[in-house]
Amino acid sequence: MATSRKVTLLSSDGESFEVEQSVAVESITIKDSIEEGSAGNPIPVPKVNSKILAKVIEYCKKHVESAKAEDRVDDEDLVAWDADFVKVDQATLFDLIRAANFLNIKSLLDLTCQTVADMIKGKTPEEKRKTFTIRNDFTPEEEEEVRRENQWAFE
Amino acid sequence: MSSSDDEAKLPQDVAVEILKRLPARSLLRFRCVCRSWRSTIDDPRFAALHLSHSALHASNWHLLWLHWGGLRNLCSLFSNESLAMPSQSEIGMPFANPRNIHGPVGSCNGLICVKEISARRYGQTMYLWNLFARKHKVVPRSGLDSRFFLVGFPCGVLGIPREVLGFGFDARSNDYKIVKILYLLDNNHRCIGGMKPWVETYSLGIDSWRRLECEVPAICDDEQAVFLNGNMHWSALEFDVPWAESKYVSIVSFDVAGEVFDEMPLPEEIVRMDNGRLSVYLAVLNDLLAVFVNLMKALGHPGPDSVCSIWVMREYGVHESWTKMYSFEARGLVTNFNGFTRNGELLMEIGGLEQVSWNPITGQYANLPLPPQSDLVTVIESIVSP
Repeated sequence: MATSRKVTLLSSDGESFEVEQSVAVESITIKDSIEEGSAGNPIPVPKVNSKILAKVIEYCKKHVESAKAEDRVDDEDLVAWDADFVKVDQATLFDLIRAANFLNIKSLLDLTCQTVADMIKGKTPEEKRKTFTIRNDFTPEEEEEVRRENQWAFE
Repeated sequence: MSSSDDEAKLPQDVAVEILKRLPARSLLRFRCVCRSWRSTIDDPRFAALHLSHSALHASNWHLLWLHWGGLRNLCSLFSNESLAMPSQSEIGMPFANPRNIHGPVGSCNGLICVKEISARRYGQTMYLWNLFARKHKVVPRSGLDSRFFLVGFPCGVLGIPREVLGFGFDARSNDYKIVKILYLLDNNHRCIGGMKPWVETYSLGIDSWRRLECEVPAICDDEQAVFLNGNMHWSALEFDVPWAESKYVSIVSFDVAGEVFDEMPLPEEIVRMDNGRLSVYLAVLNDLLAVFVNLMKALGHPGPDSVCSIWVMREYGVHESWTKMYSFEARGLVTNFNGFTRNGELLMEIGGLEQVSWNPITGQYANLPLPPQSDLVTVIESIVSP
């Protein structure tokens, strides 16, 4: 039986991570570059620093392992593990979202986006602006008018 | 502004990934966060994306019951996941006059089409309503109503008018349509004076009605049309058969994009049943077209009040694929059938009094806290605007 192949990923701040290929290809971006033969060795992962890349690798490892037949992890356990995984500070959460988006890891993107959606669901627009660091480009009069269009949603 | 602002910002496509998971109320609140959020949320393409995400999750599907007896401008909203949970709320229809009766015409992508029957003026007013976005629109009246008077109706004298309505979505032109069929029949189910049934369609995109010159193959039931696979469906009776002998023989479909009618025969076993004691209802079960058949006890005969059976068309349009799933004796006389929940439970009215759900696997009935004079429409949470 062939030994599992390993690849090396290089974070934006120069740290190397050796992982099984089956774990690395959870990222469609990496999978495509390996299949096209354009991936170097190590595979550079720009925009993702070592702290975040380590977490992403941890996520992919867990999900690849739990999908294996011999090692079947209970669905409930995986859901609980995922819930713990996203208990991080907001900056890290946003970094994970950006990494999942860039690396095209759908399940991680779903998990992190859903977490943020649940966080902001009940918030006011001011709180939302703070969370996303958005500049309010409405004038006070314009904002008032937009509010009035759906006044009931604020009650 | 600090230099870390750019890093804190999320790319637009990622922001959309988050927004599409939010409930309607949150989204409408967040329109005032900034201009680009507002234009994203208002974009019909975003509404479509939000809808497809919403449709994947059972918690976004709801049962809305419109009350036509009693408090006529109120509806009861249930989460489709569990009717047993008292998590329903009473919703007022913002456009509804409590003196009038309101009934569902159909529901599609979160838009509900409601018809309002007024005692005072002939004809019906219709509304398109998204209850989660709290937006509604009055549908302009069609030319059909005035034509009625041109030919000299009301027509208890001349014949029996039957108006059939349907509501659906044209995926080709991304448009919502209402279809109206007007039959004028004598007691032998013949069209009076050789007149063909009159058909009109309303398009939300152009906000107007137009007449359709097309053949209608049979006499549709004036129940809510079932919208599936781009077609509206009604159970139907034959033309040219005396009323006392008429039986359900087919399902009439209307292709919303192509604007053309077609007909599919019902399974022979159903057509052979004693039509005098039969009610046939259409519904959707697991994304398949389904038929609920209620065979009622003959007067003076012993036996169960209602013997019911469920059929599904496993392959759409393929007659041979009609499959009888199961049959059962109801615990009383079934006076109305309201479709299936997403987990396959039946919703029925028994004895004209009780609204119940029935689980076909356990055989258990559950009484629903609803008045008997209620019609059901299934609705999905969306921000699609009428």
